[in-house]
Amino acid sequence: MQLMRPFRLPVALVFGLVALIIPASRAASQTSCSQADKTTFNASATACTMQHSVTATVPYLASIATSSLSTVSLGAATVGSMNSGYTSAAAGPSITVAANFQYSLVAASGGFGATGKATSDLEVATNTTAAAPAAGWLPFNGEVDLVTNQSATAASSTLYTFFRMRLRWASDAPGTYSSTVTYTLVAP
Amino acid sequence: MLAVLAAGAHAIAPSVVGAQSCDQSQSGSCTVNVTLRAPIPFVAQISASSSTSDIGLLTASDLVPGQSSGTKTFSGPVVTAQANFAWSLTIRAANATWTYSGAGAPAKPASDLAWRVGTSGAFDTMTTSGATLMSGSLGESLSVSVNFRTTWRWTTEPPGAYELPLTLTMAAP
Repeated sequence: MQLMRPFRLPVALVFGLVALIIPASRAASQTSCSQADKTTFNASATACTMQHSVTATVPYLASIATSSLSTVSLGAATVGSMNSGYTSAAAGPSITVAANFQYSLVAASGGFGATGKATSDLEVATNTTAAAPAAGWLPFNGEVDLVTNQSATAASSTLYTFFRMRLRWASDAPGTYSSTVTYTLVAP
Repeated sequence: MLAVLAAGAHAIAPSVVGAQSCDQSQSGSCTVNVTLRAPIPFVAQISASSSTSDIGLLTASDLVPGQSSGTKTFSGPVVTAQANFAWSLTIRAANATWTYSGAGAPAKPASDLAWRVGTSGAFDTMTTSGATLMSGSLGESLSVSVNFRTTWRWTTEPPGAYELPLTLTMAAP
């Protein structure tokens, strides 16, 4: 019997998600007993018993907690950063996941709107410490896997995110560029 | 009490003690002795308002993110018992672990279920050896509302259907 389905959980708050709840039987039950003597009444083979079951359907449960940081400022571009091709890295929100199933965490960028700047010009990196990004910047070409196939967890570890933006002399006109990033928890 | 009446009706049929005859020609009266025997066995009845108690919707907040486990309290059945003798009713887990249907293989212990009578007071851990749910005197009909509390863990209890069968047993101490 298939009880659950993998799900995708866009994130920000604490969630409880039920894929399927099996309605429980609530019918009353009754047992009547009659034995000629006490010994027989108490004997295990003829004991006066009634059965009752406690049932629970545990759904795919998860919570994603992010740090209070809702806006990441990459800092103004400089000649130096334009020449290097990237802004300096800026710390993004930290993410703490609790899940009772193996999960992956993906991120997606909504792009830069009508500016024409490529969505993939925004890059993300992660680390298990807040000090600095680990090697491996990932451009937002569609969804980016931040972590994959992680074991069920009670939110015992935190993932730190970092962002940078690619800069181009020829196409990045002066202005403010903004993009919304969505984190999604996935049950593979 | 139906069982009592049924047992009585079955046993109350008169038994003929030998062949009796009556000769009215001698005294004008006739007497026939009939012995009625009504053995009453140990009779008892247990009933519950439901055959199953379901935990209901389990949420992430029940498990408490950041903690290894959480608990959820929910209502069990109203259990009523009566007997024609002083009695006690015990409750126990039929198995040491919960049965499971799903993608994992958890060994959730029966002790993850706790119970109490009513909605206040301390919970008792469910065991396979049993504990007294209530006791009654001869003829006394008692009812109690059972309240359950379950413990759930993030990392060792995957999504799926869990069930723990319980056994209620009446005994004549």
